[in-house]
Parts: sequence; structure tokens; C-alpha cells
Amino acid sequence: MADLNPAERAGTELEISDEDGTPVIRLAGELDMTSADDVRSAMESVLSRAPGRVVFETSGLQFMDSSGIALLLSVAQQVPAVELRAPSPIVRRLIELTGLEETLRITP
Amino acid sequence: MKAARTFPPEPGSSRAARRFVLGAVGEVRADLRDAISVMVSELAMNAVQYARTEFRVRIQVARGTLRVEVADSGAGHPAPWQAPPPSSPHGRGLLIVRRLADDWGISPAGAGPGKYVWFTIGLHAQAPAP
Repeated sequence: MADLNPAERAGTELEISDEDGTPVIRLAGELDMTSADDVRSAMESVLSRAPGRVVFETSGLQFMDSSGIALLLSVAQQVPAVELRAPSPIVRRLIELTGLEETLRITP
Repeated sequence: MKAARTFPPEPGSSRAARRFVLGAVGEVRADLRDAISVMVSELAMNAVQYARTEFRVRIQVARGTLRVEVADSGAGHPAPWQAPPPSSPHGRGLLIVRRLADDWGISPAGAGPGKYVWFTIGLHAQAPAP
């Protein structure tokens, strides 16, 4: 397990790719207070390039709580457009019940 | 069914607390499992981040309703009534509990500075409309 990065050790799989210049961050596993800081650190290289848009692909995120919401909102403060692609049921539900659909846009 | 366990004030305790509750509750529908996990995680996180004391999780299932209490010994009460603006990343934990629970509340715990936060949720309720 020596290859795991800190976020993965803390329970959140993270994979960063590029789609025509837009960073796509795939999150899977569990995103909670145990892993949120490590996930944040793992995204710094992406955010430091000041992208105009970031896509989070969260279909594999089995668990998220308000620490995940806080993480996504902190990204939305830096990046003009934050998109949640294919959110898992729990992610979609949290975004809807906190009324954040305008800030964290859900896409298929 | 009743169960209780005490957790230390450290980040991993939110995950440990929801594993404990889900394990005790057993098989439930996926959307209920999600809701229970999130609520337990939020209450545990509040205890770890704000009360900063060890906290005790008590659960009870009676007549198809799950009741969870999270008791800490910290001073101060959370202020759950306002949804923060999108520019504020924090402060949504109890808002989420309020929206997911059938009922919930905050009570002082005995004579000390502590409190317990509790929620109930029906385990056999109809699935929400899609």
C-alpha cells in the first residue's frame, strides 16, 4: 500500500485528468473530516493554475458530509465554475438540501 | 435494541461513529443508510470540532424508529437556524441534520456544561419520491 497518497490513505480515491483544458477531478470512496484536508492538498496543483472551470466526477463517492460540502465551496471561491458530474445519490441529496445547486452545478 | 459507545475527540471518530451506528442498525434501504450516516457524521464532527471532548453515541431502535443521541461535555451550543450563504464554506452540519431527520433536538446533559444532540428517523418509511 506504499503507493497510496495521503488522501487515499484517509479514504478518498482521487484522480485528476484533463478534458480540453478543464481539470476533471474524480473522487471515490468516502469524503469526510478524516480525508477532506488531504483531498484539498492533493488538488492544490490544479487550483494554483487558476482554471476557469473545474469538474468533479463523484459517481463513485459512497459517502460525503458537510466537510465535503465545505471543500467544494472553498474550491468555488477560487474557481468561477464548479461542476458536479454524475453525482452519487448522497452527493446529489446533500447539494439539494443545502440549496447549493447554483454554486455547485449538477450535470449528468 | 439499544447500544452505546464512547469515541475520542479526533477526526477519525466521525467515521468510527457512523460505522458503529450502521453496524448496530443492520440492513436498511440505501437512502436511509445514507441519511443515517450523514447525520451521525455531522453530530460526531460537531463534538470533535467544537466541543473537543470525548463523546458518547447512544442508539435505540423501537417501533421501527431509530433514535441516536450524541452527548459531549463541551460548553457552547451550535446555532443551527440559519443556512449560511454559499460564500461561507462551513456551518451546514445541523442544517443537514434538520433536513434529513424526522425529528431532532439539543438538550443540556445533566448539570455540567455538556449537551446532547439527538435525532430520530423511521426505518420503514416510504422512499422519497424521485
